[in-house]
Amino acid sequence: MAQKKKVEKEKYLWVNRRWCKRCGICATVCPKNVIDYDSEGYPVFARMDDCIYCLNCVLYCPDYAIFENKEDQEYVKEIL
Amino acid sequence: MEEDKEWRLLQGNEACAEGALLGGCNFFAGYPITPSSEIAEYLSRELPRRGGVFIQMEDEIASMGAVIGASLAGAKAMTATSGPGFSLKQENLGFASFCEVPCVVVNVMRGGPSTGQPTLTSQADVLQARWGPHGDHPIIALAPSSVEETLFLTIESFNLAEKYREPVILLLDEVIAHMREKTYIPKPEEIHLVERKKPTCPPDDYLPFEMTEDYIPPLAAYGEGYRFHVTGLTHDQRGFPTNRPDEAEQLLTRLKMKMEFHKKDMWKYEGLFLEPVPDILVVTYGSTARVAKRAVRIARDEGISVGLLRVITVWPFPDEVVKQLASEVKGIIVPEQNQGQIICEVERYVRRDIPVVGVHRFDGSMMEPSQIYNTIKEMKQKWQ
Amino acid sequence: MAVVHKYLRLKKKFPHVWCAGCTNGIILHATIRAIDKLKIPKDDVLMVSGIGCSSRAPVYFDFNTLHTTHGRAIPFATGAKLVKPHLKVIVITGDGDALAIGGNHFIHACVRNIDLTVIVFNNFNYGMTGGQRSPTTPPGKRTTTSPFGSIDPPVNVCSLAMGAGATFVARTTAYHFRPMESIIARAIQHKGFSVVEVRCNCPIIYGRLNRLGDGAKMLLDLKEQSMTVEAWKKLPPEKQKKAEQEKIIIGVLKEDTKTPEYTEQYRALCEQLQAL
Repeated sequence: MAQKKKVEKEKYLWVNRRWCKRCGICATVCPKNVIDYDSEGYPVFARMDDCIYCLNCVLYCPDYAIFENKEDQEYVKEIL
Repeated sequence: MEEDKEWRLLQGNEACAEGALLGGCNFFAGYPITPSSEIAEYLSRELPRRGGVFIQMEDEIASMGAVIGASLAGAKAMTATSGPGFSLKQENLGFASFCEVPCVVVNVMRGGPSTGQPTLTSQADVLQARWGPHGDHPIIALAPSSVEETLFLTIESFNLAEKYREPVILLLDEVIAHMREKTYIPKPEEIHLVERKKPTCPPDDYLPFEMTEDYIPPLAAYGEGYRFHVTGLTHDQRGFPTNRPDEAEQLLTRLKMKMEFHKKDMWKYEGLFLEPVPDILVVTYGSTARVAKRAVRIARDEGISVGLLRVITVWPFPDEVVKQLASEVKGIIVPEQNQGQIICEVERYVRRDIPVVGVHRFDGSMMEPSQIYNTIKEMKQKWQ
Repeated sequence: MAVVHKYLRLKKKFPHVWCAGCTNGIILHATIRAIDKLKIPKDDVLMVSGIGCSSRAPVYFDFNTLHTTHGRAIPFATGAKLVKPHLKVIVITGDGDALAIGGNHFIHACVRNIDLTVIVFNNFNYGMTGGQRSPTTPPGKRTTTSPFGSIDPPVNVCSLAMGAGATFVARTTAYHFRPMESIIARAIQHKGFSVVEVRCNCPIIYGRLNRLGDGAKMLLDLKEQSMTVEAWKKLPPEKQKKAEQEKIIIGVLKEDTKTPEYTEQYRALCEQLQAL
């Protein structure tokens, strides 16, 4: 369900694929070009080492599909 | 006159405004229109003094909108208008009906259609009161026939609105609205006020459109801890939009059942010379009933067996009452100040082959008793 | 968890109704962050909307919410505000909803200076009904009802609001997230009628008809097209006029804290009468 990519403990971002509409805005607003798309067009945090954790992707995601905590998976389960 | 009782010489519109205040009205939004403006004028003086809200909005549509917003915030809200304004209010009136927002809409009927005869009387908005907003929807409408009754029915309108969580239309006509009569002003302790059913459950469990046993869901007010959603889209029990056929059907069925289940409690009517059941029944309402009563009395003095049913609750129409009477009388006369509106409703409930004759006047003048009396006489002569 | 997630209605089904690349979600995110920053309790927020894409917003947020009829959000909000003045009433509306069918209400609420915060989502077309021409469609742009390019002069939301007497008027775009957040916060705090015009995108219909690219490109274009009001003021007068037509001037355009607010004036009148 959720796309996870854990690089560092404090930097954690994941996409809730149920909400993501694959608009590409997150990758566009990322200042460090961290985000790639997978074969289905969903965003993947491919270069988390470059991530400066500005959270632009979280703020600009029009679908509120990007989460910055691992714990939020519980929250998402509750909503679904 | 008993000393501690208060009578005042009031105009129908003033009685309506006074009744609103006695009925707990604390919000009025309106727009000037003849012949209802006196209601707004009266309340613009009185409401601020009592801490209530009076606001003159930019148009009729806005005043209906403000009334709904105010009611959802917990107020007992009212607006008053006449034909053209009533037409403009229909969309939001439909919203109030569908979202079950208690409020009172006064429509002082004037000559129509269109701008028509602003200063003259009519009863031609009766079907609009029922079917003005689009779609199937519940509605309650009352029609007083005297100034004093206007006062009491305005109080009753607020009670019905709060009790059944529905908009109530008070159908005055220009004659009632501008006539002055001796009016008894009840004391607050004589008045029974109904408050809307509030939720008692924890906010998380609250269903603002719940399928309750009595079909009336409790209504919270905005800003009091129950954060609920209201939408004019077809909604589920939580108030969220839905396209599911079962949920849409359940909602519309509940709204229909709400009226069916409680209609007997909403019905008000007055019978005159109905026991024993007469040969001829006159069915009427509003100011025309005053004229019809005179005509019936004259006819009875001449030995004609005629009685009168004055419908006070026009909607939901007292179908069973009419059905029962229609099964026993030999003919029905329906006088009204239009080209025939309530007569359609009466005809629906006549199951036998008896004449149902309308008496109409739609030139802006009051009907004469002779017009009704002649019809009674003609009907009688046909049987001889 | 992002701030916005704390304000979503848990019981409501997500994802929301808006198309891929639609910026409505971004504007609402900024609105939520503004409310969160101001620490306004959820119970004290009333979100009212009319009809249209943006107006579908209230259902997703855990406030007191009211989704009204087309163009009538402001009157509904006015009624509620007068009855419960402690409520922070935020009106979510679109360009067609606020300026065409609801234009009269918009103007009169500006005149009345009642303490409402109106956020106008200006996407230049009626998205919900399939991309028809709206009062703000720029000249020459194609919509489904101006297939040969619009010939109707567009309405300038902020000029209209300022002219009608709104006491707080600001413009921003969906791209300028942080400024948008602080502008909306200021608008909510402002005592009086506040209007925030947010230029946003409809990539699926308007964008496609006018070949403006996808949602991400249109979002970046908003950045290119914008100029802050501070930078604009520094321009020589002859260039100001040109910039006004070519650029989106963003920032707080008007803030007037002296004009009395309507609900306060009304309450003062009541108290004065009751003291007699």
